Amino acid sequence: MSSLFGILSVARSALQASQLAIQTATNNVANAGTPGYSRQRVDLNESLPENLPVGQVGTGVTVNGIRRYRNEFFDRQFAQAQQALGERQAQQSTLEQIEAILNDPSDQGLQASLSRFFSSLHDLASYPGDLTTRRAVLEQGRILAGDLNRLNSSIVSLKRNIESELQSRVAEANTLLGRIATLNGQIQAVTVAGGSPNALLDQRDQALDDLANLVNITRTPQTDGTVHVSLTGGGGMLVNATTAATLGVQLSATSDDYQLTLGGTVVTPRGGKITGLLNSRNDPNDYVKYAQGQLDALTAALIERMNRLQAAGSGTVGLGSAATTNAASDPAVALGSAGLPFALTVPGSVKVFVYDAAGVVTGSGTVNVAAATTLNDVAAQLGAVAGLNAAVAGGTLTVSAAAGSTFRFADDTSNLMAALGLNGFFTGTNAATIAVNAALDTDPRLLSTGAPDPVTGVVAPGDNSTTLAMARLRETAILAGGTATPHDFYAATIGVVGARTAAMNRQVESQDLVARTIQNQRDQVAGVSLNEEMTELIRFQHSFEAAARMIRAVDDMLDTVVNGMLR
Amino acid sequence: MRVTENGLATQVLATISEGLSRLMATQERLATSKRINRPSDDPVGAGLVVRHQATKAALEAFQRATDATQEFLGNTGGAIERVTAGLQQAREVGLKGSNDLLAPNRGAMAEQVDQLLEDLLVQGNARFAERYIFGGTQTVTAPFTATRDGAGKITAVTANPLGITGAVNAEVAEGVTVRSNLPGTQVFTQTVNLFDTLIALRDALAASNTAAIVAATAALDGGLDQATTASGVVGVSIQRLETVRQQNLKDAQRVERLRSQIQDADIAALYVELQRQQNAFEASLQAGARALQPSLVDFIR
Repeated sequence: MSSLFGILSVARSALQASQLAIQTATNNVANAGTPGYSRQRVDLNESLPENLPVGQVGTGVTVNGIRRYRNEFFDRQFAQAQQALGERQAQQSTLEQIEAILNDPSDQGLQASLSRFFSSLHDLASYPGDLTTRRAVLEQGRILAGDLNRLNSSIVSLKRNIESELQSRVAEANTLLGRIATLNGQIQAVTVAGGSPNALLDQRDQALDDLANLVNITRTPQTDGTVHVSLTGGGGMLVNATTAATLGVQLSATSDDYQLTLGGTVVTPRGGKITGLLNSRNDPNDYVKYAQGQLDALTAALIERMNRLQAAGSGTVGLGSAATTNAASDPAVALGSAGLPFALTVPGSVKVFVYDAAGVVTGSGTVNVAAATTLNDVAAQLGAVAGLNAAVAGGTLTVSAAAGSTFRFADDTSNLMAALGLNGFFTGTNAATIAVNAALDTDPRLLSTGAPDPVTGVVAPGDNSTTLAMARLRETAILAGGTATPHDFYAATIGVVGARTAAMNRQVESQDLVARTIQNQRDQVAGVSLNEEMTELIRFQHSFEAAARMIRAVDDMLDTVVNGMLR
Repeated sequence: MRVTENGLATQVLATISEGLSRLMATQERLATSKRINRPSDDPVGAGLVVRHQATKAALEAFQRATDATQEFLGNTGGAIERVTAGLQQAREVGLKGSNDLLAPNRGAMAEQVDQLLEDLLVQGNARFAERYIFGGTQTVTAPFTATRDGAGKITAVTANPLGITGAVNAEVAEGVTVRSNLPGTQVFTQTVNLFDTLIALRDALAASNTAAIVAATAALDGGLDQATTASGVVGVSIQRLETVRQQNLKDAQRVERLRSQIQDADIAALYVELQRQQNAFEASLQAGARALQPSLVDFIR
């Protein structure tokens, strides 16, 4: 039996539904710009009809809940795109910085430095006795060594920057993990009680998106509303309902690599900025290690060859004393196993000549180097030459001539001089440690331009054979196993860095487009359209007005019944 | 397709950003006049440019070496010319001295030849750029030393016992090495010992020994040949260096042209590109403004 009060309650349900719809539309408008917000709609259902003899009669509208528009599939794709983008962006950033450090082609890069060094040697070849050209060579050598030092320290700086960025990204990830765990708890409480925690779900999805940008994750939704988050590829559980694990980053104990740890155990992440940063830091054939490796190889080859030529050559004065700059780990151990930076050629030998104050040869000797020769053996052989003293202290050998005498080395077939760093042009073994031999700075006359006669030890001041050989290193294949000249090697390095950076730029660009496309698709489902909300507003406003009109009509009817029917 | 304000805004921002970054790249190229400002702009080209810059620097060094060698050889040639002139004068004196009619003047002639001998010694020990030209690699020791008698007259001239034949080389082009010095022996003592010949002539004149005078004068002919041959060798070297220098110049120009083709920007093309990009950018801004602004709210009273 329909009653007037029944109609009132139908109208009342209409009013409430409209009000709720308008409130939801207003909420959508208010949150249109909120990141991660998914639009909401009231879920209206017809109320359970009442059974009357005439049939089923409607009883109004029920609001079943507020539905949140979200497409899980797009969410997963978006996370996928984000982690790919994040990884490549991190790698791109490293490569761009390496490009900037190398700064070639230009007039200030390493190529210009190398060219000027070799040109100065060339000029010395034309004027071997001239002190000015000698000083010019030493100055250019100093500048070259300085440039190599500077490049090396820039790359090391970059490494440190990557490491500190890793630390802050991992801290960021941990914060996100904590937030996801807390939200899990809150969502679980609301879901179990039967509600739909839309705002909390939005926040959790946003946190998951941010996390995906950092590291590739797999999310497994549970029936109680929580989400389990784990590292893709079986790396470990990051969030288990309300428990969040802790990510950490550490330097490996066995190699120069940075590692990601999950609860203390080392894990290998895939994708995301953190992986990109780890790759930039650790990849032995690319990024920072490649750049550093190439620089070190170039420097080592240059040092070895220049030192070999300088040591067995002759300047305008002989040596009064000389000490090795590459220490042997143990003077009683075969030189091949004493940790020297360059290899020896065995069997080989080095000649040594002793001169008096007038430059006349007064003594000579040969140091024979075999596979088992130790530093002590070398000292003994040198000490046996008339007019020479040789002493070993720690792993360093010092050779000196008696007062008034000088000595020179010649004809080194064993590479002993370069390996020990005795009377070399440069000291050091790599880009970090290269410097010009201080003894040459003190007395530029010691810079070798010629070479003593290997039989008689006679020195000719106009001889420029050593300088010519040093200048020819410019076009000698001393790198890459004897296949590349220094300039070829460096040009190839620039080309490789450029190609990798260009490729990474293209990858970032295309991945960015993919991410944007998916974001667009997500937005089509979950985004707020103001025009839509305006339409909803108008719709439900009319609805509200109509329902209110109904109530007035029923009110009139009631009035008629109560006041009009009975006098 | 359902379009939201967010989606529209994101797209407009993205396209504006793309347009701006293209403009930025073109601006950089115009400002530096270079197509390649970092290796990633053109990896292969960057490697080639580095190579060409290195080659250019090497060619400049070769050119300097060529210049220095030409100068040194030129000075050597000059010294040999003076030697030749001296020898010719001595030969004339010798010819006159062989004539018995001029016997009374032989004393004066001997003095003249002695003077020429001293000159010859000076030429033998000629210096250039703080080096003894004819000393081989022993450039700080005088190549010829004279033993003198009590009256100060030269009785013999000996060469530096350490040797004056050492070669001083110069690299004047890639893989091309030339010898930049002439051994003193080649000019002064190889076949004919010029010093000994002049000493013999002077002594013969002083002793008025006609037969000896004739013999010494005849030997001078051989000496003149020796000097002329040496002069010819120097001349050929200098000629060869001139060819090398011209080749180096051409090579330097060629390398520079190659580098420029790869690295330098085509300014005219860039300006056209800049204009095109600017038009596209402005169009995207206008379109974005038109799309973003109107909404239903404007029309609901």
